[in-house]
Amino acid sequence: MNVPKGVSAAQWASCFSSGIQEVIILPTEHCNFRCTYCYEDFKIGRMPDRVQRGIENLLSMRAPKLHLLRFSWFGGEPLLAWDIILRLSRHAFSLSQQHGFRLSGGLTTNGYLLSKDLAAELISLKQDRFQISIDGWQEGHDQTRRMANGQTTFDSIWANLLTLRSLQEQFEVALRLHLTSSNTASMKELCIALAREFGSDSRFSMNFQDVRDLGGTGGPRVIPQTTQEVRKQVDYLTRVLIANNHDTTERISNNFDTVGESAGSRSADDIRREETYICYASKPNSILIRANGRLGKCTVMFDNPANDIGEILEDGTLAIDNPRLRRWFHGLESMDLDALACPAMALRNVDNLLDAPGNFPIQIRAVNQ
Amino acid sequence: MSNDKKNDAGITSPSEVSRRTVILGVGALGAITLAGGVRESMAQQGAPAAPAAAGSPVQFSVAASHLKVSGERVIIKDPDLVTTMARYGSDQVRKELGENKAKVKIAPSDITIDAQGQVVISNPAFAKTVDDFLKKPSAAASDTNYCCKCNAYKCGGG
Repeated sequence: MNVPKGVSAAQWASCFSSGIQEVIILPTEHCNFRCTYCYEDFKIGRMPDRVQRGIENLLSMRAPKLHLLRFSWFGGEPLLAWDIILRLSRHAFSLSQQHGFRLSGGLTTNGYLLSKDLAAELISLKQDRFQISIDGWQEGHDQTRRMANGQTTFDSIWANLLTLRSLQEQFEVALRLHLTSSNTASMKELCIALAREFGSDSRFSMNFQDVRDLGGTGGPRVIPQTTQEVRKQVDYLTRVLIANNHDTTERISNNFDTVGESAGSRSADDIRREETYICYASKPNSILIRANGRLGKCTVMFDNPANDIGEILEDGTLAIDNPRLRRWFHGLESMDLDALACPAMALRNVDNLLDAPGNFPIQIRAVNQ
Repeated sequence: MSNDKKNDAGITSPSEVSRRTVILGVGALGAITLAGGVRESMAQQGAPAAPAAAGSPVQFSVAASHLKVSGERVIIKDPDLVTTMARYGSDQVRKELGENKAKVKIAPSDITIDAQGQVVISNPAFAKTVDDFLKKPSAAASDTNYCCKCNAYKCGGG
């Protein structure tokens, strides 16, 4: 089989198998946070019952032929709709037991509502990967990641992380450590605390990401950094983690491994394996279901018509605009690694997708070269 | 191609032609057991000119630099052409290509998502290659951290 450079045949083949299905679900597009750089508009609220039933029916139809079902919960803040997550996860778990397919899943969450009991229940339903963003230590974090009502958030998130650590179950927490041009000192304090509290717990990994302009009202507030500046910051903070007894560099990754990614669809092991990154939006067997039932591919360019490829009906069938969907698959033909890593970038140059240049404000570096 | 010399397999030898491309005729296809159900000549390299009745002959044009003749076998070093041959050729063509571990590629137009969200690939050679690979036990283990024996997460048993 012809495969892109650096991509294994297993990785390539798994992108096309109907036995594998990745479903990125936005149970709500509301958020309890108002991060200063956020690209989302929160216009669509909670997923109505008809859409939830549609997802259940879709999964029931597919279950007999599935080998692996992978959920990725995104939002808004998905845990604002924790009941929907539990409902759909329970349904999928029951199907997995009945039909013998593997179920996995993870949440991209701000961590504020991730209590011990909720985490334990999610883990029991195989929803056991949590991607949680932190912007610094205490007030450093609270400058940019505040509640919608203006209150601070760091103390609650930190307390939840410590509680998670006390669980006996196996799970993964990928701490997405956001770097800005002005938070190195605060990040240093955070890294010292992270190394102390989580450095020897293999369930917790650190992933450095620089904050980028992903559009929306928050994007323009981001002060862009050069690649060189970010690398310097990452190198320094990695040394801080190691110097403070973070016991393995295998659990420290950085921006350059995962750029373009928003939903946390990669496990820490995926990152550790150092596979060439192929975005979920490039994969035919990955689908995004928004809270209103509309279907898409990308978790960033929500407002772009290219990212509206159909809808899920209450009976579970998908009404798909295949010609529009196929525009996300150019990387599969060209095998261009950057197009595979971020097909949204490749779409910039495709006619009829973007009504105006301003429709695509995403600034992402090429990474797979 | 009538003036070109042909080898024992009836294939125009790339080394004996001055043109950039050679044409694999029906005879040549037969010689390398890629015969059957093929169609008429193509307007451009690697692409059929127009639909034709089933069973009518086809010619594939190949850049000489992409051809290697070895005994009675032909190696085509052009993945796009191989994909096209598989797509428009007969089941036998596809079978031979599979057996020869042909390098097949996929185009967006080959992919459709059906009403149940399943991936439907209309490029049989590619679909077969993917299916064959995914049947290997190593492929199942590579995509997940769940044990292939007990389905437990990271149990270490499989």
